[in-house]
Amino acid sequence: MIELVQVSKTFNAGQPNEFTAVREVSFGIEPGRITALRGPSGSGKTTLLGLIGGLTRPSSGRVRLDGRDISALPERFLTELRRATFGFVFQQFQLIRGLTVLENVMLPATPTGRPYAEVRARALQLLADFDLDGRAEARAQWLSGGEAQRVAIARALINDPKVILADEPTAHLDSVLSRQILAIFADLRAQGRSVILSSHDPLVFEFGLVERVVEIRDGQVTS
Amino acid sequence: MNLFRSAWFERQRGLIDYSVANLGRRRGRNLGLFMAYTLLVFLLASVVLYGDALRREARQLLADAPELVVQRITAGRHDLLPDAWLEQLRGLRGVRAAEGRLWGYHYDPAAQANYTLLAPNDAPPAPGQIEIGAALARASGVAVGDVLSLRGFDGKPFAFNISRVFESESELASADLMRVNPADLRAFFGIEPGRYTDLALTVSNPSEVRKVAEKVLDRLPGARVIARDEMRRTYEAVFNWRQGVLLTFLSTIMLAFALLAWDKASGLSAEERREIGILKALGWDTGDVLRMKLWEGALLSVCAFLAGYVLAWLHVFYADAPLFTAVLKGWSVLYPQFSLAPQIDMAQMATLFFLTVLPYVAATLAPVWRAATLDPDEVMRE
Amino acid sequence: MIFQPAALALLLASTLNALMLLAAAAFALHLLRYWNPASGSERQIALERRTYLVSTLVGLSLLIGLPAMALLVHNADAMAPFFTGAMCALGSLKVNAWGMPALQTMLVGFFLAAAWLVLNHLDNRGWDTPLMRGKYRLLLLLAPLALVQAVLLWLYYLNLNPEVITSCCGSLFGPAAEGVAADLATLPLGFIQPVFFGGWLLTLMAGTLFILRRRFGYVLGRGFGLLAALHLPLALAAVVAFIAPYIYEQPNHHCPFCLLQAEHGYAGWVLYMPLFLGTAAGIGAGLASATRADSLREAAPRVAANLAKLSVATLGLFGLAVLFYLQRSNLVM
Repeated sequence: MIELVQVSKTFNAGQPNEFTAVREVSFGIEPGRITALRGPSGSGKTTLLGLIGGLTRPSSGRVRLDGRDISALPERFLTELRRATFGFVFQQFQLIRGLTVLENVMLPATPTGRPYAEVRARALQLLADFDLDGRAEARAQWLSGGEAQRVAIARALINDPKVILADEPTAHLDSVLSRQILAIFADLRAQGRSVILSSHDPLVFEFGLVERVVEIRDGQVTS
Repeated sequence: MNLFRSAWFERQRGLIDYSVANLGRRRGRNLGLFMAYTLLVFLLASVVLYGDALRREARQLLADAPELVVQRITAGRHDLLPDAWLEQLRGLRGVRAAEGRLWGYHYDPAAQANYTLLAPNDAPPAPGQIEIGAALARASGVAVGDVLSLRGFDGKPFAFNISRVFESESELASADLMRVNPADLRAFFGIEPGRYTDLALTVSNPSEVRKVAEKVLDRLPGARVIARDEMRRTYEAVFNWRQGVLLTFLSTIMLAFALLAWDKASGLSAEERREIGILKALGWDTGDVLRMKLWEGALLSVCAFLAGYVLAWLHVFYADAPLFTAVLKGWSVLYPQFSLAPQIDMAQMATLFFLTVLPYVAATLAPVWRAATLDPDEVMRE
Repeated sequence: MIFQPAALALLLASTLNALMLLAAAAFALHLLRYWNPASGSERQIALERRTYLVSTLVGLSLLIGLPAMALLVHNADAMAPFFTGAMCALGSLKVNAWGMPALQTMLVGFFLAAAWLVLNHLDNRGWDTPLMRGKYRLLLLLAPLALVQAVLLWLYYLNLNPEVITSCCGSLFGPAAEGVAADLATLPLGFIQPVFFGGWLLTLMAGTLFILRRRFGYVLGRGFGLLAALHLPLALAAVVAFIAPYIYEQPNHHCPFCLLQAEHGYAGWVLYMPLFLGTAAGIGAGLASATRADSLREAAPRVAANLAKLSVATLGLFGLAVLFYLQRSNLVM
C-alpha cells in the first residue's frame, strides 16, 4: 500500500553541512499491519517516517501511496491527501499550549472544512473513548504525560485516517504508560487501521505487538 | 450556492478562530503593537480630519461670497471707496449686480477678540439692534434681550440691543460676525455717507469672471479685485500644504511603525515556530497557515484602525485638536473660538486606510510568509 | 498640490504596488528558468514556497487596485474647483498629459491582476500545476505595467499646475471638438442604442448558454469571455453616447465622470462597479474554459461556470440599472 522506491533525503545540499539522512531506501508497507522501524538515534527513522507520511519530499526516488506517486505532488494536494490518510503522533506529543484539549484534538480538521458541530461531536467521542472526556476543557499544559499522549492519539484520529504514524511513542513514558499506549495501538489495529512506529525501545518489541520490523542503520535499511 | 454552509466558509471560520485565540494567547506582544498601531492611526486621522474639516469650513464660508470683490487701494492700503465707483461698474457687461458693502473690524480689548461688524443690504436690523452669531453668544454668555456695549471709533460706548442670535452652517462665520443697521455702522466706525468698505459684483457667467475683473481694473486704476475662486484656491492650497507638511513629518512615525511591525512579525519565538511546525504536520498546508496569519493581521488592523479613528474623532471634534491647532489653523490670534462640524467621508477613510493599514501589511507580508513556509520536518526531529 | 492626503496615499499605494510586483517579476524570471515540479530538490521546494508569497502579493495588488482607482477619480473630482475650466474629475485629470494615462493603466492593471488570480486559482487545482509557466509569464507583463502606473501617477501629481486652463467635459465632448471622445458623443442614437442593447443581450445569452450546456463548453466559454471583453468598450461608449445625457437630463452633457458625483445620485458607481466586476469575471470564465490541461479537466469547467454566473449576474445588473435610469429620465433624445 505504501511503497518507497530508491528514496533518498539530503539536507543542506551543496553546503558545507550537507547531510544525507536516508540513502536509497526501498521497501513496502502492507495495510492493516503494525510495522516498526527499529534503529539507534540518528539512524534516519524519523526522516523515514516523515517520507512515508508525506511530511517531506524525497530528494530523489519515489513514494507511492496505493499505487499513486505522491512525491511530485504540489504541497496543496499532498497535504490534502496526508490529512485524509495519515495521523501523526509525535515524540514530544506536541500539543498547542494555551488551547484546550478539545481545541487541540479538533485542529487537524480545520482545513477540511467539515462543519464545526460535526467535528466537535467526533472529538468529544474520541476523548470519551480514551477516558478523557472530563478533561475536554482543560488547558493542554496541565495534562500529565499519559493524558497528553492519549490526547495526541485522539488528535491523530480526528480525520479518521487509515494509517497512524508514531515517532518513538514510548520515549517519555514509564513502563505502565508504555504498555497502555501499545494496547491502544493494538486496538487501532483491530479497527483495521495500519500503524507504523519508530522506536529503539526494547519494551515495544517485547510486547508482541509488532508484526514486521524494518531495521534501519545510517539511513539505510539493513533488513 | 449556499455560501455559509460551504466548506470554504467553515475552513475560514476555523482559521479565524485560531487567529483570535492566537491574538489572545500572545497578549503581551500584541498589545504593544496594537498601541503603536492605534497611535499611528490616531495621529494621521487627526491631521486628516482636522484639515478636511477646516477646508469644509472655508468652502462653506466662501460659498455665498460674491464672485468678485472690488476694493480701493490708497498708498498700498485698503481704503473706503466712493459710490461713484458703484455707478461705473453697474453698467459693465457681464456684471449682473453690483452693490456696496459696509463692514469693518473691531477689536474689543476686554474680550481680547476681533469682531466683524457688517451692515447687510437685505433685512438689516433696526437701529440700535444687533444680531450676533450663535457661537459668539455661547462664548460670551449673552442672549436675545441683553445689551452689548462696544466702543466706537471716537471712544464713546455704543449700546446695542441683541435682537437675534443666528445660526450659520459655518461656525467660523458666526463666531465673530455681528450684524447692525447701516446708519449705526456708519456712526460706529465714522464712515461718511456715500462711502463703502468695498463692492460686491455678481457675475452671471463663471467663465467671464476673469474678463470682468480685467475690465474693472481698466476702468478703476486704484482698485484691487479679489476673485472668490482665487480666494478659495488659496485657502485650500494653504490647508492642503499645511496638512501635507504635517503628514510628511508623520511619515517618519509611519516608517518607525512599519519597522516595528516588521520586527515583531519576524521575531518568531521558538515556541511559535514549534507551533507552526505542529500545525503543518497535522495537516495544515502553507496556504492555511498563511491565511491564518493574515487574518491575525487583519483583525489587529481593523481594531487598531477603529480605535485610532474614534480617538482622533474625539480629539478633533470634541477637544478641538490641541495637538495640531497651531500648525493647521495658523499662528494667528485673530481666529475666534469655533468648533468644527464633524462629518464622515468614505474617501477620507480610504485615504487613511492606505496610509496606515497598507504600510502595516506591506511590512509584515514577507515575515508572515516566511513563518508560514516553515518546514514541518523540523518538528519531527527533536 | 501634491501635499493632499489623498494624493500622498495614492502615491504610497502605487509605489508599494510597483515595488511588490517588480520583486515578484524578479522571482518570475528565476522560476521560469528552474521550475521542475517532478524534482524534490531543495531549490524546487524553495520555489514552491515562494509562489505563495507571489500570489499573496498579486492578491493584495488587486485588493488595493480598485479602491485606488476610486480614490484617484474622487480626488480628481474634489480638485476640480482649483483648475480653471474643470468641472469634474475629467478636467482635473486633463491638466497635464499624465492623468488619464495613469487612470488607464490602473484599469488595465486591474483586469490583468484579476485574470492572473483566476489562473492562479485554477493552477492550484491541478496536481501538476499546469498553468505555472503561463501565469508567471503574465506576471512579467503585470510588473512593468505597475511601474509605469506608479511613474505616471508621480508625474501627474508633481506637475499639477493650477494656472493651466484645462478642458471641461463640455468642451471635450461638445460638437466642436475632435477626437475619440467627441466621436463617441456624436454617435447617432439609431445606431448606438440597438448595438449596445444587442451586444449586452448577446453577452448575457452566451453566458447563460455556457452555464446551462456542459457540452461545447470550450467553445461557448471562450466565446463568452471574448464577448464580455468586447462588451466593456461598447458599454463605455454607450455611457458617453446616450446613457450619461439621459441621467443628466441634458442632451449635450456626455461626461462619464460627472456621473460619479453626489448630485447625480452616484449613478456612476452604480453603473461602473457591476460593469467592471462582470467584465473581469467574464474574462476569467473565458480563460478558465480555455485551459486544456488534463489535470484541470474537472476543476476548470466548474470554476468557469461559477465565474460565468457571477459575470451574468453583475452584467445583468448593469443593464437593468441602465434601463432604470433611462426610464426614469425626463429627457427624450
